[in-house]
Amino acid sequence: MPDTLKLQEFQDALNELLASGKYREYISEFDPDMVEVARELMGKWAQRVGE
Amino acid sequence: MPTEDFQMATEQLFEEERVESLEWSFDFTWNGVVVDPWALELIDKYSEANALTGHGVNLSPLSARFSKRQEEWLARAREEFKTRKYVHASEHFGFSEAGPIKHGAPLSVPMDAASLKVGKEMLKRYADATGCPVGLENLAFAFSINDVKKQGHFIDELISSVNGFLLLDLHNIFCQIANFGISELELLNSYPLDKVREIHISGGSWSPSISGKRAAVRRDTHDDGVPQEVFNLAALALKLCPNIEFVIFERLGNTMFSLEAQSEFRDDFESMEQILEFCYA
Repeated sequence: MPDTLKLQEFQDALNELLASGKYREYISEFDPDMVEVARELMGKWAQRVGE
Repeated sequence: MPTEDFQMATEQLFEEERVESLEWSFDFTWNGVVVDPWALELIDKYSEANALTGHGVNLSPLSARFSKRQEEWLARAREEFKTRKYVHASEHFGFSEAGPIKHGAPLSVPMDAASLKVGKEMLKRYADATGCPVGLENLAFAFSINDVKKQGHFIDELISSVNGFLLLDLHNIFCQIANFGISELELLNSYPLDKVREIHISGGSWSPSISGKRAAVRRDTHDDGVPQEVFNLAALALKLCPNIEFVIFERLGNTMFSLEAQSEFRDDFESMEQILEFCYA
């Protein structure tokens, strides 16, 4: 069975980090420019639960 | 986008009956946005003519957790597709809802068995809610070159589970070519080109590279004219994809207030008309 719980935890942590205003092998491939794009996009568009 | 500048830019095209189909982001109004009567009339006109396609923005099909918000989104989609006729429905590849964020930017996912499982389940729900063929749009954003190289095959696996289609966004393809140095043919051929039923044409912008690894980063911002590279990709895609039925021009609202920008939009539309005539003559 695919481990969707681990995927959930990864997505939760990634979204939270990128929107904070600040899977190891997968992350090791991340391009710094693209992380910056994601950080900027989340800063602009992210809507929190309850907002 | 049903905005004043879009109306001004496109009025002439609609009057001359040069627009053969329309795409409506049907969840656009679910946050309380009011759409002007002129736009609703157009949407209904194209719906009645079997020329309206639906494009969802906020479903977040690859979120690992199936949320209450997504459940409500699907219920609203079901109502929308009962009351208005659409040829098909599409959504973006990727996830945006997770953790404390209910709406964000669509981001890429690890292309593994877990993502495949949640993606297939959500596409089945989407197909069930809309009652029509559903498809996914390729994402411009990628965390890495491996995301870029794997996305086509992964989307193929997802859409195959619902006999769905690929919405091939050519500006998104251009972004990945520009940002990752992959060749256009290698990238296009990594997608299931026989399943492309619709293509998107748009423009974008450049932003600085924080790493200095590239001159600039190409962004899918939909706020400028269509670059020549995207027209070239359109001509190539029309040759490579035998089942294209819809070519959709995208433009962000409130980005064409000058008469010059509106005229450029119509020029781009005409360029695409000429490419279609050339390819299908």
